[in-house]
Amino acid sequence: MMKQPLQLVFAQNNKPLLQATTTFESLDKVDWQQVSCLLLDAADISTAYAALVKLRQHSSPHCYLRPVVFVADTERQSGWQWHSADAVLVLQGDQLFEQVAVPDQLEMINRWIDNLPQQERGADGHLQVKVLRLLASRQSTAEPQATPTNYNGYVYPLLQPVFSIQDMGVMQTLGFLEQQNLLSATLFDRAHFCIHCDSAFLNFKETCVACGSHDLDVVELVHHFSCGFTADITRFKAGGDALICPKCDKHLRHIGVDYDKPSTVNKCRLCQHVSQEGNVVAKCFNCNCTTEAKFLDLRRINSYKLTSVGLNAAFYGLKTYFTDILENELQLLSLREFELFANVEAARIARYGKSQSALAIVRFVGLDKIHLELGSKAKQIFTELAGIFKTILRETDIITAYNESMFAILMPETSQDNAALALSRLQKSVEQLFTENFDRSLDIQQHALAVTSELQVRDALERFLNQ
Amino acid sequence: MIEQAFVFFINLSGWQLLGYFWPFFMIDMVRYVLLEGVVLLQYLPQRKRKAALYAAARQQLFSQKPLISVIVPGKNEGRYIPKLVQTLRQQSYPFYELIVVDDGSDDATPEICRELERNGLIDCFIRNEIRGGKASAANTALQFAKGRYIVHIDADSHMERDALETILLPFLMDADVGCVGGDVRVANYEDSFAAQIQRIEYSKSIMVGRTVASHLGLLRIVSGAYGAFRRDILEAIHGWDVGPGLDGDITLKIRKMGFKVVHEPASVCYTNVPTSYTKLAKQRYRWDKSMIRFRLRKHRDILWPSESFRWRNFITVADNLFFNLLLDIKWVIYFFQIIQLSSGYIAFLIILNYFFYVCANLVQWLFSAMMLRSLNQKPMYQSVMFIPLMPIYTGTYLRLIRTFAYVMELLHKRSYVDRWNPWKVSKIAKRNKL
Ligand SMILES: [Zn+2]
Ligand SMILES: [Zn+2]
Ligand SMILES: [Zn+2]
Repeated sequence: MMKQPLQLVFAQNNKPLLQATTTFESLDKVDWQQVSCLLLDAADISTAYAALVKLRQHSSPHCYLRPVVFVADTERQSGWQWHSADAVLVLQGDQLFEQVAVPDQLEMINRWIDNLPQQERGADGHLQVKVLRLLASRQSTAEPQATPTNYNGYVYPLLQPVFSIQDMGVMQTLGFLEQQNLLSATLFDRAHFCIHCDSAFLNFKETCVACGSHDLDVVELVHHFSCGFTADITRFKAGGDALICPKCDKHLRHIGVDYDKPSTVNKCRLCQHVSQEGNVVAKCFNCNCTTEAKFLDLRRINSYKLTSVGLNAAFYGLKTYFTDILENELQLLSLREFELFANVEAARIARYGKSQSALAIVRFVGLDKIHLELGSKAKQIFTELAGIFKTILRETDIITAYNESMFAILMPETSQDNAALALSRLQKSVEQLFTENFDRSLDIQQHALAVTSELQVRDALERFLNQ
Repeated sequence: MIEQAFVFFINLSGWQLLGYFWPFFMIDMVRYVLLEGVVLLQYLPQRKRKAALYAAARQQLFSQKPLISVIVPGKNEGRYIPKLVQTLRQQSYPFYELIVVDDGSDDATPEICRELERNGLIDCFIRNEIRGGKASAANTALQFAKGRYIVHIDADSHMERDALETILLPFLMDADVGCVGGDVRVANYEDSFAAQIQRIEYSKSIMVGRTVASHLGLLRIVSGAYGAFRRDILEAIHGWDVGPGLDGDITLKIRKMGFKVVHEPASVCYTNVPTSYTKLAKQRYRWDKSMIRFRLRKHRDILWPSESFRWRNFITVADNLFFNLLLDIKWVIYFFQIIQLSSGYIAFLIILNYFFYVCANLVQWLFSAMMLRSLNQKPMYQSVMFIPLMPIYTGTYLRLIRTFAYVMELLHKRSYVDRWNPWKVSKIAKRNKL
């Protein structure tokens, strides 16, 4: 029988629903309220993990928060990926995939999702919120795990699937959330990182303080009590099982009784320099750079627990986000309302044919990173940014947020060219704001199009996002 | 009283004078005034005539630029090292490496020295976690020394600007020279009476005494506080033996190998001496015990005829034994002589003996002044005030300590339980009858 990579277990009858046609694209159409958990065939862990990533990166909390179970065909599980799912079940004997019994504890997660306030159940793409919610719904802490597969040496298995390669790192996001008092940190380990590439895979070695060579001999000193002779152990002759002192020809029998080893020193084979101090350097396995140990980035690797503020934010979202500020400054409509307006406007134009309206789309690339980089100062930027929107938009313009960094503006009685003009003014002002006040730039992508009866707002936004 | 004593003295015949004051006239005056005076009268003009040879040696030194390894073994001496580094940096001869060995210090020595090493002010710092004694620490330094010459110096000292340069000249002037003693002087003489008196003592016994012994080829000690050695010789004898008195020990070994041991009064190093009489007594007790141990027990072969017998080595040891140990006994004899035969004149004898010894010390002080002048150094005029104290210092104080030390050493072999050596090392040394 051909196994399906994805299996949904329904809540009410606890019966699995196998659909060969269930693809990740059709996840949107699933009635998630009915789904108790997702079973992923983990016969091949990398495929299962790839599926988990797709689920966790979905924008709906109904999907990305849903319990996921790896179904393994062996007890031997190695690699942190196994810890990224909520549970791992092993098929017993000739048990079939569909017969796997799902643990009841997972229902706790579903209950948490059900308790989410109504307005928060919609799509949200905020990484930070996702992280908070994953931790809150599982009543879990973010525990780091050392791994050789990740170049920075640590991974947070539960959270890693949420992040795509382009996103900010898990560690930075957790650090930011800690800064915002949403998480509290407990030291797990301290680790050195390459300052050039962030890699934790470093080869530490002592080098000669005089010439930097790493070709060092470790010289062990031996002190013979009776004659006072003290020298490199290699200068003592071996006589049976004891060393023989070259000065007095006596046997060195018992350490501490007739001889001692007072110290060891490093002797450079290149320049002969002798020292007990070595300059410790680290060579990075990833980028091959050699850095003095004292200049390495020494970071605290923490485990993170939700604070009460964080728990609150998991439920109600983060209020310092641009969309929240924009919502206060300009009447921000939901996407559904916006679509409705756009449809009415398109119909009006088609009917009278006298005027033209435009749909403007703006995307601030990396707006979420500003939040991470600037912390509390971000709010100030976002307020300024909202001010710019306000001066350029007219009373009659309607605005919506597709996600955290992409906005659509419906401009009635405006030609496509004029809309483009307004967008370029917006762009100029934003550029000015950033270069003058924050010493950095912000990439803006923009597009203006005429409102016609063929216009499908959502498709247009989707196309713009994926172009 | 003094007048009476003077009258008593005037009325003595020559034989009576000798009979009453034989220890002074027959022994001390001959040995320390006449002998030294005669030798100095020969040495000082000769040194002047050798000026050209010294200049040539100096030129040779600066063209060859041999590396010197300055080694500083010690325990809990880190606080002195920065100053020592300073005086080394001011040396006229810059081709040296500084090796500091920390013999299991329990103070901030490792931190201080590591910092200096990091800043390139110490070339090599080695910390022996397990304390092994001064000999072991010096041998550790020797193990890693690269220089052609080894200069052994106490951390608690500073050198004249030309000291390193000058101490090397004897090696270049005579290929048979195996080690050279530097002139150790008292740095802290202004600190106390005891220090003032030690300053006179050092100038007598080291500057004048060792120069004379060196000139006669009889020098038996190169001070551990400041001495230079050829590294090849030190390596051949595998370095220092277990102390105390390891300076004297190694010098004798070098002599036995047939090398010359010389004193160079122009190479000056200042050291801090004990400022209280109690501390001084402890120091001298330690030194004196080692005399017996090394001269009498360990190196007694020098006194017996053998293949490697050398008259000069014999005289060196014999002189030391005679003037230190046997002459200690002469005072006992003298004491009984006075009590038995001339108890009526005790007061006169004491006053006159004191007078003679003050005179002898004055003459010796004049010798040191002459020497300093001929070395173009400032004579220590001010210290003449302390000369009247010298007979009491050397005749009573030091003699008592010495006698006590000899008795203890001969009876109990006390120096094996020396707090300058870890007990483990001392135990082994005792068992091996070293
Ligand atoms: Zn080197
Ligand atoms: Zn030995
Ligand atoms: Zn790197």
